[in-house]
Amino acid sequence: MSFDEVYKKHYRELIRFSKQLNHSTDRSEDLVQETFIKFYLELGKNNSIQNPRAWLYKVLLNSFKTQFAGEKKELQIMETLDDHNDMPHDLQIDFFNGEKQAIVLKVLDTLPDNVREILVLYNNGFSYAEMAEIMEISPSSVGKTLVRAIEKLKEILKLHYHEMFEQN
Amino acid sequence: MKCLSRTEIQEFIDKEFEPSLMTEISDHIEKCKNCSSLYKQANDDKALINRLLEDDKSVDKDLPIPEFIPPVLYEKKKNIFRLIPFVVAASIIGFIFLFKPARIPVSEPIPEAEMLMYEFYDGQDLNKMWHEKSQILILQDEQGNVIQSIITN
Repeated sequence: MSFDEVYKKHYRELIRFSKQLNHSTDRSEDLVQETFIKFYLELGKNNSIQNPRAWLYKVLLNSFKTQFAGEKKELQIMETLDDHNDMPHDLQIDFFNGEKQAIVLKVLDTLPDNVREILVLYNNGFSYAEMAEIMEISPSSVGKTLVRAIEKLKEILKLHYHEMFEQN
Repeated sequence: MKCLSRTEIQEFIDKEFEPSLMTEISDHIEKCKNCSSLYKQANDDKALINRLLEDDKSVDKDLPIPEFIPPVLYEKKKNIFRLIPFVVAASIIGFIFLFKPARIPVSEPIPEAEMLMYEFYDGQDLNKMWHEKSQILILQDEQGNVIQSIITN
């Protein structure tokens, strides 16, 4: 597959992935552009990339971690899921206002980084081996990490989004 | 076959096992009530994640894909953007210096009475004048002790 084909095929999903990580359109566009530049340069070195999609996600995630590691998020990260007071108050209001898009981002925000990353990657259809490669974790631990992430997500939804959860 | 853990059920749903093991697990789930319940729960969880994040996916369908900017041009563009704050700051400072209004010393007009007073006292020894105009009144008792001294002018 040529560079242009890869670019057109994966640009949008990388923008979405980046937004799920950092919430900013401008930053997402920069991150994705820089990711594709790395991909372009890698191809220029005649290095073959077996799985361009996983490679792009991995590079983007690493760039994000490097660039924004020190930054505080706008919303506080919930340290303990048992504590109701840790949940940003306006989440419930947003739910009733029907702003699902905003809720999804906020729910993702309340999750620890690795939980959020694995859920987003899982939803994007990556295999366990690909997720392990992107997140740089052991392939054998993907299943366990994923199940823990699902449980954590359910806990948040049960506590704060009964309506959404009950639709399930 | 022994019962499966939640993680194993998840791996089964995600087809992470060898085909032969998949068949074996599938048969077990059909027969085992506990595993069947876990399997249903795990499927529901997967549907929940999909439902939660699917709307998010649909948002960017219409997102335009910009032309790819090759590395050299991208660096140039980034450098130009990096310069913008400096250019703006320099322009503001330049503007302030260029168009700063000249300061005209502001002086209050001196009242006429004050002007007359200054004219009157101009060139005179004010200390001497004070002594000439002053009167000293000393009050004494019968023994000659000073009771009070008053200076008037």
